Amino acid sequence: MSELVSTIQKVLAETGLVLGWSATGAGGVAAPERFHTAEEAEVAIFDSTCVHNLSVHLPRLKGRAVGIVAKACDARSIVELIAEREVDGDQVRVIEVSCTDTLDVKAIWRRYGYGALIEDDGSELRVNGEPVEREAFVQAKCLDCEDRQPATPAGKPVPSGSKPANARQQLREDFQAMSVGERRAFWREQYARCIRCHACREACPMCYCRDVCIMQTTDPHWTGGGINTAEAEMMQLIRVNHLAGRCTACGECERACPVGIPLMLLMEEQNRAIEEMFDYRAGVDPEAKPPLLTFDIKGDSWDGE
Amino acid sequence: MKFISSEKIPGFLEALSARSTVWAPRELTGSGGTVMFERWRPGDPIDLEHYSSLSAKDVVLPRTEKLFGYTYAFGGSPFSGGLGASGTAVAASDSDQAPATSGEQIVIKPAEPAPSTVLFGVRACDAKSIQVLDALFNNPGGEGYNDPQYSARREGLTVITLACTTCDDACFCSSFENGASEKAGSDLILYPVDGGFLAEGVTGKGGELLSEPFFEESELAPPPLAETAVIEGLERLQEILPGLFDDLDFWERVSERCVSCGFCTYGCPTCHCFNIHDEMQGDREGERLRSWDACMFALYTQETSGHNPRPTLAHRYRNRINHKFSYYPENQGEILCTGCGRCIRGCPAALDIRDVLRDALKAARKE
Amino acid sequence: MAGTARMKQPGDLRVIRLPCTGRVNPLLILKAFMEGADGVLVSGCHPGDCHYNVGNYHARRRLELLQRMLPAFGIDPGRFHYTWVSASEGSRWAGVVSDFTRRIEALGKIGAEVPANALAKAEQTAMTDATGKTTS
Repeated sequence: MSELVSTIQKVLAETGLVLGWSATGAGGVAAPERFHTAEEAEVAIFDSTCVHNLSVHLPRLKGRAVGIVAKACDARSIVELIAEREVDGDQVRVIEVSCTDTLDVKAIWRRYGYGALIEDDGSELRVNGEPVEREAFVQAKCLDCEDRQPATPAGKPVPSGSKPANARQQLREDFQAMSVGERRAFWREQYARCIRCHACREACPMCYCRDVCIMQTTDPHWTGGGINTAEAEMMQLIRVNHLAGRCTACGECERACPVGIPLMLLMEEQNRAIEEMFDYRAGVDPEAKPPLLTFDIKGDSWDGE
Repeated sequence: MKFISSEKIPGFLEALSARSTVWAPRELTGSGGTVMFERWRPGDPIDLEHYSSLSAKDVVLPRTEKLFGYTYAFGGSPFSGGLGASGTAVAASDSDQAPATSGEQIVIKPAEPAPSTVLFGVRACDAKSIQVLDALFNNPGGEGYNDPQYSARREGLTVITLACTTCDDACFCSSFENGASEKAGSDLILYPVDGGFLAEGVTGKGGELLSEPFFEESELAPPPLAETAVIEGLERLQEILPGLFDDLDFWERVSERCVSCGFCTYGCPTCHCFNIHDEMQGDREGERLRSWDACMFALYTQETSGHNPRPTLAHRYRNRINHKFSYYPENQGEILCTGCGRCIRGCPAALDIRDVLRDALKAARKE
Repeated sequence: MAGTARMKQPGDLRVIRLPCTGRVNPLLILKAFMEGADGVLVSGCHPGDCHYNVGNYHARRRLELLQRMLPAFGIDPGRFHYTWVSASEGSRWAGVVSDFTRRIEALGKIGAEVPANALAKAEQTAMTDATGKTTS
């Protein structure tokens, strides 16, 4: 029995519920699972296809004891949820797993066909039995991750920096090189295919307003009910604005988007701005004061006053 | 059968686009490989290799469509055209008063007529889904409901289907009667062969296209079509599901992975729920729109009083499965699913509707 | 003050009064841009002078963050400006609004910075152009 399974079983004895993964997902990859008994937990796994941020379920389970298997990035979401009093820290038991990186499963399937066999021992990635270049199919957020464990046999993290390792990183570089006007056109092209399924919102652990979200209220009428470029653009402006200083960069909005809108480009920009302005990262310290809920009389004079 | 070579496809589409709006699947740039049905214009690329991420149902049920536009006019003067100089002039002084009962006028501007459309490169599952939707929306002269806007678009629509010789892990159309050889909903079917496609006319509309100069006679035999994974007994669900209706534990268990986004319904070729809403531009002019809505959203059943008859995710997921496999077959005689697998490929939580259906069949056997 | 002193002010500026810059939800500014405003100016009481004690301290953080995010959204940051003008600074007010209006006039209509070919591409990809509105 793996160490993970026995840990989950130990936590289960206290909480009666653990959120984790089994290998039963569609297409033969990991899928989110709820374990209630030690027997159920025997199928628990952790591998690089465990991409989901399970903390999205925590606000729905508010008020009951729950264990949760979490990667370092997921743990930041849990910390932020606790900081915002949306989750009771005393009731959550975090089982943190060490993680090298997670895969962009969709990208693999687009290249090799949906359901292609993915085998990964942590360093060598094989698809349908053939070795493939790992960096091309790793989620971009993982390449940037500061908590990333050594991934290569030599024990060194693969350097990311000078040259983009995959298409998503290249897209970020292209975006940053655009003029302001080109960016507006870029976003309008991206938003044109938005169907307003709200997957970006629903997959986000921090978007727990859910059914009372102002993206859908009619009064105030921040967005209309139509499904078109203009409404989609406003929707994303709302999302970015409401996640200011709260986004833990887990990347679930972008991963969940069924039409591949690179939503994290905006979140990355905002997180960087917030780090520059306030030296603050969300989801690091549950006692930290969120930067937009406070102020610094002297330190905030960006305009020289 | 007739044959068209791969090189002639763009020319064929160009000829079609001269008289109709053509929709074809394309990989969108900067989208991480998203394939969608888009307006095709001469020179545009086509992707016939991948399955489209979204269905082509926009063609008959646009994600947002204008039912009509309207303008309010006050002061008793007949109001012609849009908000012109005279319109704004009237508005300034009268808008603060209560709407005059005698002088108020509402001018309705009808929506543009539906264009003649060619849908190119859908698969058998998508073509079939149009027929499934027809059962609800398109009954001109019949006893059932006839939706005039849907009906007009359907009338002008020609469907050119690409037969599937391969399938992937998410496909399950073979669970339905005809599987990949389904012809319902198609006007013309293209079978991939070496160097091009064999073409079979299914309806008169499709058959006529074969007389175009792009097609030549061929002795080739059509290729064997794909066989997908099968779930036995889907038609039995119509009897089984009512018995599971009150078993909320079951529905909670099968939907526990769900994060409650609406992709499975919006990506689905047969889901067709909509909302009708007015959008004002200023306080004098507006449009009445019909937009997609989905039973996976809490607001879908939210009542004005605050009461919600489907308060939890489990309630909503139960409705999704029941509508597809119980209510719709009962009312319209068709299962509201064609096995295209989009809800499986696109689900951010790796939820597989086939597991749920198997669980439902299993739960019934136990009883 | 600027009015009673009969100072000249531009006529194409629409003043929307709010009780405090603390009330300025950054989304109000973004919504204005989305609805076609060519520029948005936020003017409040000087930091330290807030009638509600801390409203403009909160606003300052939000407005500065918005200022830095505008380029990512594709909106020229020059179209937005926030500043502090007290009720007694009539001539300063007249100067601020005149300068800002001149700046916006130089930038032109919102969207003028979007290259025509890029915009055409964006519009062409819009699937809904055959069936519904894509822009408003």
